[in-house]
Amino acid sequence: MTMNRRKAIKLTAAVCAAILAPRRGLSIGRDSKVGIAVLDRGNSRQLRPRCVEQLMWEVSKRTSINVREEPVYLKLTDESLFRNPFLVWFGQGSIQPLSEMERRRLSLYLRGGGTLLISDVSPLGDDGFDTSIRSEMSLLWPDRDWMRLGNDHTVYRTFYLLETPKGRVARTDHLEGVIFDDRSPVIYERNDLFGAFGRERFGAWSMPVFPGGERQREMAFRTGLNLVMYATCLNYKRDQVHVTEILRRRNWRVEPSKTIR
Amino acid sequence: MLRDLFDTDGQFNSAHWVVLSDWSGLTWTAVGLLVCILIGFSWWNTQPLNRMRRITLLALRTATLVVITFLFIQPGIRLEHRNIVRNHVAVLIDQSRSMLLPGQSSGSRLDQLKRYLEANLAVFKSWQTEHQVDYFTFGRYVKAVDDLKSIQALGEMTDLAGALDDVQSRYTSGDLAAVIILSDGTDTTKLKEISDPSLIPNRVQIAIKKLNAPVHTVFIGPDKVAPDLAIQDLSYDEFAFVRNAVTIDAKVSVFGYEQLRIPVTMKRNGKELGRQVLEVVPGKQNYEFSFEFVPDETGKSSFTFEVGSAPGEQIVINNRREFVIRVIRDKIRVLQVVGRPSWDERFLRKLLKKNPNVDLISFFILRTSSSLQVARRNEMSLIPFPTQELFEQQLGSFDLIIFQNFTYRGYQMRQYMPLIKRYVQNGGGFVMVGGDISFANGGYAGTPIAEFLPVTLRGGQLGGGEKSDYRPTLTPAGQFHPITNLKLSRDENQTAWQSLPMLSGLNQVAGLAPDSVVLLEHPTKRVGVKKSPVVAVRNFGKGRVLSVLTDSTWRWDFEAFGLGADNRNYYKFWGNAIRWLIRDPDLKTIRVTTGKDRYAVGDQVSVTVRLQADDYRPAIDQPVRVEVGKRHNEQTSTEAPIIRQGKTDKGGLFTFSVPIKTDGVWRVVARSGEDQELVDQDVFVVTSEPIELATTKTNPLLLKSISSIGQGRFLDDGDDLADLERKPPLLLQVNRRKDVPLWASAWLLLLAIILPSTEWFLRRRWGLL
Repeated sequence: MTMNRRKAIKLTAAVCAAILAPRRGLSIGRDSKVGIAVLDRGNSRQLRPRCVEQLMWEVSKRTSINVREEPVYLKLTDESLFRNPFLVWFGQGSIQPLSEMERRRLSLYLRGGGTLLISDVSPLGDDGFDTSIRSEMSLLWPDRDWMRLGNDHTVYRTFYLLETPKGRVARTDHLEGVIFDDRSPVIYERNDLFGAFGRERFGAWSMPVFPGGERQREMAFRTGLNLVMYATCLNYKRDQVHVTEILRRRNWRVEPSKTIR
Repeated sequence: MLRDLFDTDGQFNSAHWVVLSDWSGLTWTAVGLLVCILIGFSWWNTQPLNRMRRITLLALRTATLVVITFLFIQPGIRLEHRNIVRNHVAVLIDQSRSMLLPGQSSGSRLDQLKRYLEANLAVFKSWQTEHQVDYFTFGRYVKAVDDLKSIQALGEMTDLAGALDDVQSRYTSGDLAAVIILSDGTDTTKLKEISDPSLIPNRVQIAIKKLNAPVHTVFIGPDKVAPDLAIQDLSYDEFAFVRNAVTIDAKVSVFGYEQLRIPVTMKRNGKELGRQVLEVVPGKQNYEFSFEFVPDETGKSSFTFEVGSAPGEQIVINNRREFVIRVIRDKIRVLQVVGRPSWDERFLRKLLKKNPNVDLISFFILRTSSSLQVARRNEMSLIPFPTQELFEQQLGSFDLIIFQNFTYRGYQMRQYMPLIKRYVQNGGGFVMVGGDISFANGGYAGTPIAEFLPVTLRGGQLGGGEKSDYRPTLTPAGQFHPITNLKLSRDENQTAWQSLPMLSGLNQVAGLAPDSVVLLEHPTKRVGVKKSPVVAVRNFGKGRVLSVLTDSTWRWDFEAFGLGADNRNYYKFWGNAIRWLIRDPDLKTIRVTTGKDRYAVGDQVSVTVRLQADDYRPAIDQPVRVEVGKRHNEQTSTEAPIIRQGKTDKGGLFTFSVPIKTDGVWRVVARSGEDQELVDQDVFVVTSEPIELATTKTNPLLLKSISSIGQGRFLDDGDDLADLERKPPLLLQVNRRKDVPLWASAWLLLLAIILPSTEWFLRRRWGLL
């Protein structure tokens, strides 16, 4: 087989294209990428800037997920809410209760398949947000128990094997939420998870992690990554093909989910 | 008798004794006492006499008193002409098939029964003045019969309780004089094994008592039962699941044989499935057998359980039983392989997990070789991608494989691609769902997988095709195809598709495979002159393939839900797709069905052929050829298959009925198409219902029990019916009456004079006066 100049040029171009073609970030549509929507309520836009991006960047580097790093900020009444199945609600201090319309939309969103991660970024000692959230959730899920998620919950093994959730602070050693339709549509964490991800413009971490230092930050990333993986794969890791292997890797001691209220 | 003596003109129909005097009870008592006193006085008065004289005088005195009393009573014969309402004697004649079995002497039990009836016709005739004799045959219900000679033993069951219930419902209370049952006692229903009155269910006992008349039973049958092997019972589920073990249990009874070795076989579709030996030992009557098999394909299968015939066995029809088992899918085993977690994967997995008919094996690639690894292996929940296990060892166990935005690159999968192609060729279902690493982006161009996809791929054709939102449109084929059939009517279906949320993203393809069918296409974007496919299907070998060239169908679920629209369309679309991919029998373009799996000999079997075009529109005015014949290996030279040819109607249907006159396993094969390439078949069993002939045994004890509860008599065919107890008929009115006084006779008066005169003469002569 002989190769003429035209063929050689075509081959070279193809090789260059193959090398230069992006392996990540390629998508065929605007909904192909997995992204996070942040609930645009109160001052949430200012609370944890560039944190979602950092988490999603880590997700893109560590996993096969095709991510959209930039978050979209959405109100519960926005039409595009239902094009973003993963919603994060940052909050600190007491919050304005949800309006009837917001509550109805949020309920519809969660029952239709959406996942809401509520992150309490309040300073230690401030329980205003916590009180508000518990009140809202009791109105939102009057028919469901608010649970402490046991360490056998899938969220602790969707990618990394975790014992407890980590964040910027160590306020609690557990996640909370409700169980609906064999999944947890609401997950509540109180360790300022996203606070551990923020970076300054030149790369330094925005906030120190307390008390565990950089190891805690890494574990916070793992927690965040597991949550993203849970939003996309749900109970995939509970399938039998995985269970035996996972149990073998950790000296598993199951603490089942407990009702809190 | 009395009527004959006193009614010489025949003007009356009744005669009986009466007392014509109208003395009161007190007078009767006084007269009675006086007679006793007078006899006692005579006894005392004659003591001194010798024995001869004493007896003579006492006899004369007594005779005198009797005559006087007779005159005092004034007896007579009352002749009457009465209107009588005859009550009914219901004669129930067992006409079940067991009556064909040998009877007491020569001939069948039915012959024996007819002989008995004939011998007792005179008795029935003699009852006719007071009773109307009604003859019925019975099986489950009773049926009036006029001509006793015409009775045939064709009944498929014997239900004595049901028959008695039916008799009771036909007569008003008190209208029955008696019920006479003539039977061999082989009930085939709830009274089957009953041999004692106490074992008869309360409900039946009440029904018998409600008849309010004596129930007599006449046992018709031989004293000694003919030797026989019989299938007593077959236990199986009419539905079985493919690849799940099926157990068929059989019970065989043996009568009259002490030692025997007979083969017992189970056949499936004419092929022997298993063989065992019936080893008869003395004293044991029932033998049980169990056969197990694992069906490997769906559809109806015919089964034949057969016990070999024993030497001298007269009845062999009860040695064979045929039946049909419908093999259906247990669960649809689906392998979902996902190249990377995404919203599309998340909602499709939710859908598959929610479907109770799906047994889902998911495998997601959570990280690739280029992903950063910042944790030790034991800190992660990842397991290796078991390619060999999935695509070599277990491949055949899946009904459907879904490659969802999955690239084979990097997993050393090239060697398994021919296996996947062969899997599809052999009947497997395959779906490729779009995404950034699917179709051409996944490097499938030029691979064995590309050979069976509905779309053609070009190497190096990377990148997304269409980033903006669009609403796919139904193609003409899509308007009828079962996958895109969201609603029953065409208009509603069209509206449903137009109301779905828009999609985003489209995988680029080079074109369409020649025999593929596009169901949904992009509204504007084109591949050459044709619009770009969004959903396309293709038959490949025996398998089916679906390509969904986008990764955004999840919006039909979540977004539709948020908009308050019907997100069930998402479930419907994928549900339809799964059914089509696994070749759900209901989605075949040619379907032939018979109404039932089991028919009795002589029944009309209705056959329906439904024909659809490739796009699932009704195929109108298309020629269809249907052959109804015995299964191939049962065909005999005398039984040519029944052939019907015709054309489908407006609904794409071709229907007809055909009578089947011989038992066995029958097969209906429908063909259509230019080369008769469209074929479907159905199987049904025609049976002479051997329940009645399951045993040669009789059950006289059951008849005895019934007559015991019914306060009647149990007879056998040597007994006469003449003196059977019957309730009297009802008297309605007396038209004429005549009293014949017996006391107003000169002879009697003469006796009344002569007797005391003689006594007076003798007393005087013997010196007593």
